Amino acid sequence: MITENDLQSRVEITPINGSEIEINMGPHHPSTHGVIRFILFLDGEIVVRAVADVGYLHRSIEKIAENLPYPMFMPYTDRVDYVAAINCNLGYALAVESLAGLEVPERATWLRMIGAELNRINSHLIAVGALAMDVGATTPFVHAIREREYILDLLEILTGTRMNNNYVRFGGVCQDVPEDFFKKTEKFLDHFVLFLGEFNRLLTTNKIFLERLINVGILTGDQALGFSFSGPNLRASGVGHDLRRIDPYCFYSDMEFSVPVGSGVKGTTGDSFDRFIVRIDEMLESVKILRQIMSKIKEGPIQSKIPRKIVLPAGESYHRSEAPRGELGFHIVSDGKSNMPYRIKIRTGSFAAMTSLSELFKGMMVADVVAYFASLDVVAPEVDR
Amino acid sequence: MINLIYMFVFSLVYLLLLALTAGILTYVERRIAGRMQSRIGPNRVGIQGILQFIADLIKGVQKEDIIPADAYAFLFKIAPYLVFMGVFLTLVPIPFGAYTLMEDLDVGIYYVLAMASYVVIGLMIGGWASNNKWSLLGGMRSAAQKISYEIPAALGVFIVVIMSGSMNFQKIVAAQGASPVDWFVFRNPFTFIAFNLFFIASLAEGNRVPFDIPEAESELVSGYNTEYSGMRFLFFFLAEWGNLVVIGALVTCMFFGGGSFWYEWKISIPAPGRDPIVFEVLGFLWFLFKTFFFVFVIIWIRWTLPRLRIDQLMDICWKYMVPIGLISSLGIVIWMYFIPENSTIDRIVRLTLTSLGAITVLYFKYRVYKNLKITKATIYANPFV
Amino acid sequence: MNFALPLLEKLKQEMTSKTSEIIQADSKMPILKIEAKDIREAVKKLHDDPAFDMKYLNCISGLHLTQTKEDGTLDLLGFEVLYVFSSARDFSTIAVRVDLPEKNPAIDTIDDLYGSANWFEREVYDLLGVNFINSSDLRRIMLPQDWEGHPLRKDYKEQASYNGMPTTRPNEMESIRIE
Repeated sequence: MITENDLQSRVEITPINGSEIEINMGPHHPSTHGVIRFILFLDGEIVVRAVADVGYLHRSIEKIAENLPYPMFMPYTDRVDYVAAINCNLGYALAVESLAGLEVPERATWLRMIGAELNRINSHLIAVGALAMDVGATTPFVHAIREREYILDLLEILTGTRMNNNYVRFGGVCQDVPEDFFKKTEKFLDHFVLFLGEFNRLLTTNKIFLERLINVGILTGDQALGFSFSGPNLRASGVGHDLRRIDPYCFYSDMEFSVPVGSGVKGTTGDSFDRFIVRIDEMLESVKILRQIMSKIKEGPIQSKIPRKIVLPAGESYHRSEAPRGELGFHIVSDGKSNMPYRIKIRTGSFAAMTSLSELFKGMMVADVVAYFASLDVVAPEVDR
Repeated sequence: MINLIYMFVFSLVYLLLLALTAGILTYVERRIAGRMQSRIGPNRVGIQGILQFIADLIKGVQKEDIIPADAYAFLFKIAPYLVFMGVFLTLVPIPFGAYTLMEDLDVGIYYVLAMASYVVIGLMIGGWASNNKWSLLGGMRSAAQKISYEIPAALGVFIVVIMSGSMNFQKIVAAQGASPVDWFVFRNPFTFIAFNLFFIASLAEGNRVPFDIPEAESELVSGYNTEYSGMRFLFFFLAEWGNLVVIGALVTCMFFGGGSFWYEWKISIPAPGRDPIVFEVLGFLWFLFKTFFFVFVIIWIRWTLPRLRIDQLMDICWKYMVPIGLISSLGIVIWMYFIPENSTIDRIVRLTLTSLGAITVLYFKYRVYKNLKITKATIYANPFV
Repeated sequence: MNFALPLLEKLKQEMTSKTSEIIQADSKMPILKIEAKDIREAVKKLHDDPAFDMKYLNCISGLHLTQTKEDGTLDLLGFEVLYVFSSARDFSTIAVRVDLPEKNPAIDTIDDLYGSANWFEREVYDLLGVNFINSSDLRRIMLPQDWEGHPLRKDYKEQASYNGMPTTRPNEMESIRIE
């Protein structure tokens, strides 16, 4: 139904008070992390109102899914979140497998977890690096990118590609790894822990950096829940919500790791610095998980027998997993006859994080807007899909 | 007439030298930044990329000089030249040697302070005339910042003027000696504070990190120079890097003994029996060495620290630096009244401060090597990669 | 999955209208199907009642219900809106489903209860054309405001041109095909 609203311009232009200026931030702006647009109404440096506008990267992935057989949709899930492709692969594969009742061999699950955790470190490195960049520190960003490069090398050995891996298959993974992969990963992890120490000395303990993030964009636990935050953003507000714990998939229930929760180490619980430090801690937890996986992984098949034509039973299901940007939910509806999904809806963490912006931007300074938005770690394709 | 020709020729020589130095500094800065960020930096044009700045210049000149349709064309055109002029004029009274200076002004410091604030007009005009809101914000920020930081800078200078009893740069340099104990920076606690005030305020006036708020890339896209292209854009950058030399030279003159390069050799009083030409050249080189050391420090700071927020910037200026500056100016008067130069207490204080400085440097070196050991990294000292 | 069947049954009992039913109760995700007019009552109960404490809205999803007839044409049966909520205490999750008619699908908004509901609703409105009554800000979110139609409807036909720009382009492979 088309209402009168539809005929208005893309974003409603509200009248401007005398002392305000309206400023258009994005879709092409260095700190909007892709094509996301804010319209800020400023009084001097202070934001009076803000409108967030998304959709510049809308590729209609959900519509595409309705016209593809289940396995052929797998590469599209890479493009939902290109920074953490394997996590998206995994979420989709788990959703379909649990509906179709497909078995996954043990080694394949371990390999999936290795891919997912490496990708999580990768994604968090981008997040903390980009946050550093947005508050003006260029060098830590490049250092983070340098470490990410090692991860991409590892992922290349693991999956064959550096990004958009398309690694997970229904009932397994696409390829096994060479034996020296584990040695290389071990070496990288040793190096990476040392790197994080260096990174902390350079950036995390920096007075200016702390001043920029502490008490900026405070979200209490209730607020964060209300805005449907998930993943590190929600944990930073003091809510210990980790789907690897609450709703374990793969072998995460066997893993020993702690869920880092923001506690306001320097300022108030739920400020931007908490969101930053939670990601740093999570990288260390991922390192722990990776070490455990590598001590437990055994030889074995990597692919189970799956039917040539996957037809899910009629009905609908919402399956979720913990991606680096929070809850990644796949709402899959099948009509029980076709080998194509009737509807796939992808719920992403970035989209939920975006909902808080217009509310939180009020009263911030322009520099805080940038810092707060960067601390949410939003990736544009995940918002728009 | 002869005077006019003399003036013209010397201005031209200075202009070319400044342009060359600024150009080389862009190259040097990029190489240093590359080193700090595990990259190589430009190394293709000429030996080790030394001619990169000429390539950049040619490229910049070739670009179309775009003037936005809604810009106020006249002001838009002259703004970069105003900025450049402000920086260039500050070079006039700086003594690179006993005779290597344009004009031995009796009000040298006063003149430099006046010309430095001249830059504000250029930035403000550039930001306003672009008719771009980001540029306007940048221009406004820069005006607020520079005018505020004039005061701590002036207070720092004030202390030096009291110490040396003159505003003439030659006399200020002559009041110090060649050895570190004679430098104003280690003369007494108040001059040490004055050095810090002046150096920090200079960073702010030169738009350098952590005070690069007017052109904050991640917030304001590029600040006041967003709409500029081609030659005019280059002029902004010429001014920025020229300003580095000016800051370095001023700090060297006022706090680090200028070009005095051997004990008892005061720059404007050549030692008897020495060849004045050799003296002049050595003094000049020693001066340049000190200047470029401070330029290096500024570059180093830029690639290490994040950026402040505008209110924090103002806090630092008005809540800390200005009161400290005022107290120190009072303190220096009392100090000079009670403790005559070369008395025992004076000598002890000088020696203590100098050794404290030396200890700081040694401790820094120890920290660096300790951290290198922890992260198992190595320093590649060879700059030619 | 920890979709909680007991909570669903409790909610079903506490609803004033007794028309709600639990579907796919034996599957991994039991869903409570309620009528459109009851949605605010149900969600308010979920949100405010300490027995549920569903302060967390996971997702609002929607789909177009159709059936393909034997001759290949589509039988349009209406719309479905699916709400997934989680408890703020133990994160047990429940799903609530509402079916809407094909003509003028409309449902009460819940964006005064959940901060994020507005954006989820806007997405459903944009892509499926479900109207959310009393919404504070119901605009298109992904597509331009002057776009015609709602792409995730099964009978959606893309408009031939948008603001003078053609939305399809000729397949260049066709022209160079060797016969």
